[in-house]
Amino acid sequence: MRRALVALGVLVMAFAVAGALTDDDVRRFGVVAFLVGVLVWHDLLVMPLVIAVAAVVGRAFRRVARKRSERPRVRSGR
Amino acid sequence: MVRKPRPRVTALLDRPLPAPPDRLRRGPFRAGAFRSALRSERLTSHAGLALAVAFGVCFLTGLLSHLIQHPPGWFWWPSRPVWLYRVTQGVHVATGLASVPLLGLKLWSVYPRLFAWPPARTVAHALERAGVAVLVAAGLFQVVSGVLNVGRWYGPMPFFFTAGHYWVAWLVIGALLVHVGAKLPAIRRELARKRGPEPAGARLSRRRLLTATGAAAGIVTLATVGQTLRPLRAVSLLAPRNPTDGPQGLAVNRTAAAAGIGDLAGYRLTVAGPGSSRVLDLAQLTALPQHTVDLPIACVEGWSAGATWTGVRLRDLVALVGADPDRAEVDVESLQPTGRYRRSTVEPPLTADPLTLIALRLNGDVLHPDHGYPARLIAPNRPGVLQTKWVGRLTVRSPR
Repeated sequence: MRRALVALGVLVMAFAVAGALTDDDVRRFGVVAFLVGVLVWHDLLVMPLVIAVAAVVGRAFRRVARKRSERPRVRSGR
Repeated sequence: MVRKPRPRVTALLDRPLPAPPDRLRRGPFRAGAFRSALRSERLTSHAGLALAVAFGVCFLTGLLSHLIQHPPGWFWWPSRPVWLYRVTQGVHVATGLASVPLLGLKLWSVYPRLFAWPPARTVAHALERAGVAVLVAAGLFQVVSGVLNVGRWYGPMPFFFTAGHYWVAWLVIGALLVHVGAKLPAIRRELARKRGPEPAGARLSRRRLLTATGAAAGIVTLATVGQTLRPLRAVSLLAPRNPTDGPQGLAVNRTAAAAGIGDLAGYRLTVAGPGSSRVLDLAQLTALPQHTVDLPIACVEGWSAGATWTGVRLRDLVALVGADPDRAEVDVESLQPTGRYRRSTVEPPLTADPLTLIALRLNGDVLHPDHGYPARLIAPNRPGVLQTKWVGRLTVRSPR
């Protein structure tokens, strides 16, 4: 099963590459540049930024939650 | 006991690669650099499964759209139901947009593996990582270019969108099959396993994270699908297009000015048949029997809208030059001087269909120039880019 999936996948990828190489409408350099560009953009810019923002926001939330839990509770005298 | 020698290829694949010096193991490569306890193989497997389903649906509906626009000899596409392409293309764009949060979660869940140490243990491991890089790059390519296309922002794409998006779709599916094949034991194990304990001290559980991502995908769908699903138009705040926003209450992708349509005084429609030809001016076209039909315009970018069209049946024009309207194929040529879509072919099932018109009026009024005045093609169950505007010539052919 695993070998069949891998073999089929390699064949489909080969079909994609062969198709792109023989299709006159494909600007091959542009497609490759965009493939590399989105990978670098995502892995080195978007994801680190998302993780950093989530860390800062998470820390701020935890600080607020801690302060709230430390605040003395005032009860009504009635 | 004598050991059976391993095949050469397996031995080569399993050959260990030299590890880089430890002093290079810095920053995100350090052990414990990523601390979120929410990441797990189970979360990755579930996110991957949802994403594979979304990508699969997107691929099949996109492939269908490609085949309709570039039909090979074996392909046959019916003219009914008239709304079928509207639905398949609406599903294509909706699943593509819903993939954005799913892809985000999936890539976040495996992000630490990008910085695994050593980067490649064996030749097989290096090849697997290269395959993953292709899968991630192609997946991002499809989602990003699809969103840019829906927003009609072509500047950042240094290629012709339709061709690039089509071939990279095959690349994604191939890389996905390889990835599933490589990870199948882990995927099976994690999907079969019962839910384990949530990570200690985490404020957000994995189940909540998955639910939140599913909800985000649902919200994205609800907020955009109204561009094709009329009842949801009121809640579709993020829909890139309002299909009724345009002249005569219908959106326009390419205006007459953008298509280079000049002065149309003295307009003539040439109908060239295998045996004879006719040249008709607008008055003669208007004098032919007029028919009114309700048909949607369904754009490849996902928006669609219904409209009422009035004009001459294409089959009547085919009969006018002595061809058999039940078997003829018609090349429709626009007056626009250039452009990939200045010509389209109407296959025999559509030529024969009485709903296929050379329309002269839209919603009761003469066509606006941006909708193709003086005459345009409107046919059922067909992508908007093939509904040729500013029609100047019809070439009728007998089927091959």
